[in-house]
Amino acid sequence: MKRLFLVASLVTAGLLAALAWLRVKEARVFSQPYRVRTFTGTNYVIQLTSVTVGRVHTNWLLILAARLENPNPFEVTLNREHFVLMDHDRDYYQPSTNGTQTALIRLPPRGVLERELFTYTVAGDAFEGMLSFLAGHQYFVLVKGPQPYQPHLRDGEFVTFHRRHW
Amino acid sequence: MQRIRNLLIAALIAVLSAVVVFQHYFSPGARRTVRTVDAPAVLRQIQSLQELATVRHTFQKVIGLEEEKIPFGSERVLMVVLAHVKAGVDLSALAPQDVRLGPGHHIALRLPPPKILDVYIDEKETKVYQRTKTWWTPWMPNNPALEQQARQAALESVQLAAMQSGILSNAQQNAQTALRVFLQAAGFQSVTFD
Repeated sequence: MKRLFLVASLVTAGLLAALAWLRVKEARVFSQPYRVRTFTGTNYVIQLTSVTVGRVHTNWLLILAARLENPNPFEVTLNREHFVLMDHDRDYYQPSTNGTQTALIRLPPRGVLERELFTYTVAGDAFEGMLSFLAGHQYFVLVKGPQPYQPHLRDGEFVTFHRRHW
Repeated sequence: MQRIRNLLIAALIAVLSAVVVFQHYFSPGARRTVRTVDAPAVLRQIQSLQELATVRHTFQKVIGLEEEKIPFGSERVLMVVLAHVKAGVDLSALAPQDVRLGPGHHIALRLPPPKILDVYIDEKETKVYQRTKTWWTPWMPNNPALEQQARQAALESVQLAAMQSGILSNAQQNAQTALRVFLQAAGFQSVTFD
């Protein structure tokens, strides 16, 4: 009996450790940096840090937080509207440029923006499949995996993830 | 007889001419300045109004933000947020072709689309109601930025709620009313908006 308990504990601990390792790996994949280029050929680095999903009345908000780095000795200006989000139905969503988020993102010379936010108002069915984020004009970075997500959130409730499988 | 009549007519014409000349040069109204109104001048005047905030909505929202921790557990913050949203029209974006002057002191304007000019949280009325963490992950550190994230989520949701409540159409109507009053005070008899 004692031995069975020990084995069960070891198996449980092993499974938990494997799950933890998988989740840490997922988080690292989610937050990997991408070196991208503007349309004029200037390099910069973008790294997703978190994705927040929330509900406002009948709409859904998706807030992407990203770290932007400018390795150049000159200022780089990025157009926020180029950072579009695409869902599994190939519906495109443009980020909000009203109020708290300006239409142009200015990266100072050799500077870093630790937390730049991109806010999207998406349809409820956008969470039924994959969600991708267009970084620069080269990469579609996966924000959400193919499994459907049915958030049971009330108005004003938000959830933040640091990985793709949510 | 004929000569006297001609003289009288000539005298009458001379008197009338003198009256007309006197009226033209020496009456009080004769010294009024003549204003010339051209489209670039009006454009500059309107552009100088810059961002014309015409409506402000106030929202109180309860925001709950739950952050999933890596590898396990979660942290949650519940806030009551009071935020103000200001909307209006950015008149500095008005272009020369957006102002057209017509006959009879008429002006036609094409205003830029209304937009949200500012969203801000009223700090006095905003408070953290609850902050919790999963009890079985006591080793996980608290995220110091979680509250800031919740505030950001609140700002975004308030902005969306304001747009759903029709703040932009209100802003446009109010901007048209304000500009109509402004331009009529400046001498225009009719103001129309495209």
